[in-house]
Amino acid sequence: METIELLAAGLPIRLTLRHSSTRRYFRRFLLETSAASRFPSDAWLALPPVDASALQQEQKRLGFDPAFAEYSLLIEAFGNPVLRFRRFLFHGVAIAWRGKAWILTGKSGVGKTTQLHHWEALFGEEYHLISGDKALIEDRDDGFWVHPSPWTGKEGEHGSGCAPIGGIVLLEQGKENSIQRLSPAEAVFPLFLQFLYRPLECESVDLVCAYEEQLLRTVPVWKLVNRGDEASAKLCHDYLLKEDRECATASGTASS
Amino acid sequence: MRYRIRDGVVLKCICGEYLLIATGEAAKHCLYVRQVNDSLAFFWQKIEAGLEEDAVVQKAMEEYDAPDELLRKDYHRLLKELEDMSYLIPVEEPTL
Repeated sequence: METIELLAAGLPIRLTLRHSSTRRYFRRFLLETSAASRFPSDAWLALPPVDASALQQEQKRLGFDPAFAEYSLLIEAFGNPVLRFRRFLFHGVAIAWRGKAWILTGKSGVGKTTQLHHWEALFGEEYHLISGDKALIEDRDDGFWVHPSPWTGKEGEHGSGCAPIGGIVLLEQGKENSIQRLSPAEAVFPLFLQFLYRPLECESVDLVCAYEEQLLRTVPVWKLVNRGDEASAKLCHDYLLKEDRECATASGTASS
Repeated sequence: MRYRIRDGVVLKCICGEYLLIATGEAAKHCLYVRQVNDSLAFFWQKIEAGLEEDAVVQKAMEEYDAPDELLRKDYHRLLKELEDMSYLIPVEEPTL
């Protein structure tokens, strides 16, 4: 086995890998030894190795090499303990735009990546990608910050950087493009499904509920019903631009 | 018929909305999470508190200002629904 040390969302993480080749999936997050030593011992999130029989089953299920199976299982192993470190994994594409992080979320296959590709084609110079599929969100005293996580989606899109959260867009497929603001009450159920953790025990559920309550009370959520075309990306972009400018004007901060 | 809540099923409130969440072993028997309305949440909390049917209906009459017969019918329907969804487990009445 091999132990590797990572840094993600400012959290030092120690992973014990059954396969040394799994290390390659975490290379962007590896922590240098000199940097690792500055973190006190109680700051670390240490994960035990994944269960050997679960790894075997996962490898059979995925049909991939054991390193990828281990990488996949580690999402489940990570999603719960990270909750105790004021962070959580969230399913969605996250971009940094206008100084803030914007998350596109929704069920698998709803068109998050398609929407991202349209943004890239139309507004590629305006934003950069923070996370391609699973964002690591940090609950700071001044609000939620969005970071990349080591886990990408099937497209393998990695991101970088971080930003304070500006808003969440919940995607749905539809015959016509439309976007509307959701109340916190309307957003509760669909967003709850996007927290990446396992409801193994009440403590984790309590933490997720608390995070979602705080998130919905402080972060705007919109529903984008879309046909998956460029027009939907333009609608989303222009609407959020208007909302963000109004928000900046209301708070007296500079906008462009 | 008496019921007990399946171990591991919890009712949570987020921004005024109620979710029934199946944790641990309960997730093998029920849907992981289901959004429920205020009245179901009301009755659930009474079941959780261990109230007998008459007490539940009395509380419901105070809350909803509706007649006993109607509320009792609603309560029975709800119990059956929750049993069908595996959130409630029937408890055998002790025989004398």
